[in-house]
Amino acid sequence: MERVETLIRHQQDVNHQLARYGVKFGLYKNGVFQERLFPFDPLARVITAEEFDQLDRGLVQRVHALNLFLRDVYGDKKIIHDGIVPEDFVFAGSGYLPQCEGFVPPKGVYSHISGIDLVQGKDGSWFILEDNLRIPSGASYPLIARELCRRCSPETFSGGGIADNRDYADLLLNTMNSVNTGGLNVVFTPGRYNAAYFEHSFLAEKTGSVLAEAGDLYVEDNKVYLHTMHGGERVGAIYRRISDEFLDPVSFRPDSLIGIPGVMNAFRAGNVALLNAPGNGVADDKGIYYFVPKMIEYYLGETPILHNAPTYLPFYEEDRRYVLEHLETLVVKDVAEAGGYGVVFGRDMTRQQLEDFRETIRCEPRRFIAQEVIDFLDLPIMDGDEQVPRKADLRAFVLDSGDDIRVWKSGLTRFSRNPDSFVVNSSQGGGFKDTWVLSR
Amino acid sequence: MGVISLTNASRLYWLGRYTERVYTGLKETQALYDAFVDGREADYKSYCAKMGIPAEYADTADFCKRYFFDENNGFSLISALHDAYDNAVVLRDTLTTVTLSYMQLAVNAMEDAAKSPTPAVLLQLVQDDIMAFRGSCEESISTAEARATIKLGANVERVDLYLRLGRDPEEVRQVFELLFNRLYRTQLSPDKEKLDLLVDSLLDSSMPDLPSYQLIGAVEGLFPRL
Repeated sequence: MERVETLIRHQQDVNHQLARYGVKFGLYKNGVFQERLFPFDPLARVITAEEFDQLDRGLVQRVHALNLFLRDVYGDKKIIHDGIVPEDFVFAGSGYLPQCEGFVPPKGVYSHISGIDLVQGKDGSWFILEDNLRIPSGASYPLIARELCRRCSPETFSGGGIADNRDYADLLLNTMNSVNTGGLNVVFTPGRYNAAYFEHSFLAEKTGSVLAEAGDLYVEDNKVYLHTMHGGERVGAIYRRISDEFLDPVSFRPDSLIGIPGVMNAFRAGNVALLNAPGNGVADDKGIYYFVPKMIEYYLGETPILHNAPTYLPFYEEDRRYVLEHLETLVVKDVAEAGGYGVVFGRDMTRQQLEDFRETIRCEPRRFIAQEVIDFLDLPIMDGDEQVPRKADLRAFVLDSGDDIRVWKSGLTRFSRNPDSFVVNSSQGGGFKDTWVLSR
Repeated sequence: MGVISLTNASRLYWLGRYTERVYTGLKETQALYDAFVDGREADYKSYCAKMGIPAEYADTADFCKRYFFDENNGFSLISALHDAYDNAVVLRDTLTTVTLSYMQLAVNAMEDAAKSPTPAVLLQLVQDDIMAFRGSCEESISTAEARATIKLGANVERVDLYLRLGRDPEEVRQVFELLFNRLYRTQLSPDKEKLDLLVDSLLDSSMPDLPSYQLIGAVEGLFPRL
């Protein structure tokens, strides 16, 4: 593809621009915080218009069902009473927060920004790997990369044909405004030493929101205010990039020094919107993932458009037997872990390790899910002057404003830089690509 | 984005101060660097004494290396630049990504200079990038108060440095006048007693001269809450 070749020729310019604009992520190595440039590969993932149309419909359907599930779980719990999702998987997970019971957030939206991870099989079919409904990160990277690539290699984008992805900030702002209860929009960050700080500050800038951290916001009479030079300024929506447990020391971990004391009371009083709503972890637990297709059928009466990777729950006896018998061919995931941690490939284990792990599964069946290893499509990346194949996934971003659900026509394609690895997370050394959705 | 949190007001002020510290520091040490290029010894100890920093360097060459580039030396210019960056990077929503990029370029140039056998050209780039950063602040920051707070920080630092370096009283008066005029464009509240002392001494020629250490103390304590 000539467009891609042109961009490759400008790769050095793009890398200079990325360094200039400080496109970084943070990580802790041996207890020391380090900022690193996020490795960028110029060979974009290309999704055809027809392919995206199917993804779009499937993702909207899935996020719609997940939001209905959250409303149900913290409300009437019909899906549990009707025996579709076992109680154990809802209430035993750490994602379920009793503090969120009996309250519906503005416009009934729980997951405003959903990051849905997918992989493509070698036959071209897409599989959902996981749903991220808490604080999914990553949209800022393809957003700024596109801007910089357009600057360095305009001929790649001339004549149209690639859907413009620079509307992400507008989509996010529209979502924030739609649920704002009156006041400022704020992006709330745990601070400079968070892995995704670049994204927090970048999205604050692009949406015209205030970037705030602990100590900048306070709650009075169940309303949230920003400390300013001129006194308190009312806050109507908080895009919080801090996990539930640290969000409010009054309601959650009392030792949190990075939260907003009392914000949950303001939220429950309907005086501020929190994006995403606390408690969403109950729906993106790796164990609950298994039930999402059933949710779609239950709430929407529709057949799922997108499929899960073939998954087994050792919680069920039949599945447990299969997992124990086929452990060496499966990938097993600890439901409590994230970021590529807690993922074990049976094929990489010794005979003794397999036997030990079987015992762990027998003792703690609720703790794990097991999946068939999808032989997913390799994408080419540049390795010096050569193209080499690497495993890659796609994080699609779906925004629910309460008025409509929109899938961003782009996404974060992450790839493994290690030829033998399936793990694509930046914290594990992975890089990223832009995602081009063709407009015709 | 027109709202400035209290925390950000402090960051803007210190961003201005650290940026100025690097800029003036680079200019003021030109003569010392020249001596180093010629292989001569220069009076770096006198410079350190004026700046109130330890003169723990083996010779002029060591000074030129470590005062410029030693990240573990809290008084070095690279440390001051990193402090400026640390304040800037948490102000992206106020400064804009475009403006922040000039600070990133200054840091990149300084880090490259630290590794280069010919750092002078790259140090020139650091100064250029700081100037570009200032121009971009003027161009891109929509909130007048934010712009004024950065400039106020820079003015405070410049008065402080000029007093320390024993610059001509007329030069000090001029930079203090800039500081004084800018005070009223921000919501920052100066310590009135210290401000009066500085105004009397630096702007009112009928008042007796005070020793510089007293003036430096007043400048340093002008904004005790920041």
